[in-house]
Amino acid sequence: MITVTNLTKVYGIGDKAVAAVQDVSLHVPSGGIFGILGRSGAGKTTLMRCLTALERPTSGSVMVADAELTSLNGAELRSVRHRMGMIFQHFNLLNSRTAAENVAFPLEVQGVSKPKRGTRVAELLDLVGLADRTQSYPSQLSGGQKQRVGIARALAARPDVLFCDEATSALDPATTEQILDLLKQINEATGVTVVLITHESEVVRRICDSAALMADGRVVEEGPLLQLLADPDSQLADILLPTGDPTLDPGQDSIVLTFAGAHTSEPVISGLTRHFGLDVTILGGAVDQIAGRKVGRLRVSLSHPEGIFDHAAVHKYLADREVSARL
Amino acid sequence: MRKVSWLEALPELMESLGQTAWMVGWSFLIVVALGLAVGVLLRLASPDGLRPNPIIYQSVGVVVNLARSLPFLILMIALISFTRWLVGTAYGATAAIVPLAIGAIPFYARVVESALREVAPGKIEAAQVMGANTWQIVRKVLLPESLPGLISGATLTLVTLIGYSTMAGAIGGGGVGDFAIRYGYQRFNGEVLLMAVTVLIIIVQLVQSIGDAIVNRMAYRRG
Repeated sequence: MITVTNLTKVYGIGDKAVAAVQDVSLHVPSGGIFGILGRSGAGKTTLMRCLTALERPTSGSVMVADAELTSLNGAELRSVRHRMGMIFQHFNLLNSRTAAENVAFPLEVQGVSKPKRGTRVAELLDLVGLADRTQSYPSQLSGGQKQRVGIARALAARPDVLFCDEATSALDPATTEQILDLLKQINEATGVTVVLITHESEVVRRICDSAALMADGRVVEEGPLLQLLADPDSQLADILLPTGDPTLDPGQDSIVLTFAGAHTSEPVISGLTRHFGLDVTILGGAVDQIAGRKVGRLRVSLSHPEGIFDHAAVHKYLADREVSARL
Repeated sequence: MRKVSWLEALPELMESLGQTAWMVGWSFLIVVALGLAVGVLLRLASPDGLRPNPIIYQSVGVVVNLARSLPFLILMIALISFTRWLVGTAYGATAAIVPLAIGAIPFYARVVESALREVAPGKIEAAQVMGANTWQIVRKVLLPESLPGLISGATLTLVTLIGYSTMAGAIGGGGVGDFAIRYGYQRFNGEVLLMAVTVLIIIVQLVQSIGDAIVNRMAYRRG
């Protein structure tokens, strides 16, 4: 759906030049939910502005739905944008329009006839659970309701891709969950590709299939979540399923076991004790449902009463049970 | 000469009010239409606008500032030959429409520009991402979103025009200003002058209240 190649965006010139995004390449597969996670200042907002052509990259290429955004003229860009939807942290609804009129906006822009707009708007407000608030103005709606209107508006023209710019960062935790579940449900029902940027790991953990981690303008890691989680060295895995700070247990050699396979229910830990006579101390860990699968990460220290054990055999034992670890 | 009572002067005041309404009404319509156009142009062409254009922004800006820095009386006199060329005469209520409109267009244009500037950039970007073109953004986002500001600015402009129109009276434009000069200044008839002033105050109050009421009603709905 989206392919970014060697994208760099520099603001300012000369000594004051700051590269907000540096040499970023990534691929967003069609139909999934792709999360771009990073702290403020990591460059994710700039990256998304390049994906929606609100910003012109300094160099590199952005392909969205087979269109190279950097080479389009105004009219071509508008027609590509008719295939895009976007929701925002601060909603950006028009205060002068009712909920229904806000949702109708992209349809008006595309010249859809009034009767057709009416049907589509009613359908969408029903989808987002606001069928009874069609005539309300944004000022009369709560934050969650505003974002629902935003989602309905973004979906009105049946886009191929839905961009979410910190869409839940201004919402309380309960509302955040509802909005995330709604996004997930819409993604499953319509197959729209969702690209979201967020600084909240909870958002990625809850709904994303794949993700990229950004820091200092660069993509540090990128890929399907299950694949990243299975990598014991993955920073993203440690953000999503933190196992505690290793420096809190000095003197203990700890390793991280990741349970991302279908055999998560197998008693692997007691197996280590039974088969290898190892003492297993659990130092930290987390288990959660990620990308449709139950995934756990445990930080443990392994020791043998005699001080030595067969690392290769333990490794094979774990690998056979789809538990990844670096010994 | 016998002093005229306010009751005797009343019919003449009514006639003057008619002339004022004529000058102010037409010039207001022209100012709103052209002021909006110039204001939108300034906003679009400004460095952070949708169509940044330093040449247009600077040159229109200079003309606007020039016109605004001229005292209205001077502007009116300076425009005499232009007015004569345009409407055939430089005297009377119709002729006064020309300097009134030209004097207030730059004022309202700046009001429009700053009202449009108040529209959150995020709303404009949202419309851009939805594939709206510049004209659609102006018509569907910028103008409706800034409508309360545009209306309160228009109210202010209307009050200013009423004030200017009395000056137009001073050089033969007719209207309440002309009336007040004739009775209050040339004949020292305080009673009649007081009546004219009272009527002016009531009109200005009325205009301001109606404008505020419209804006408040909008604000109530929009929050």
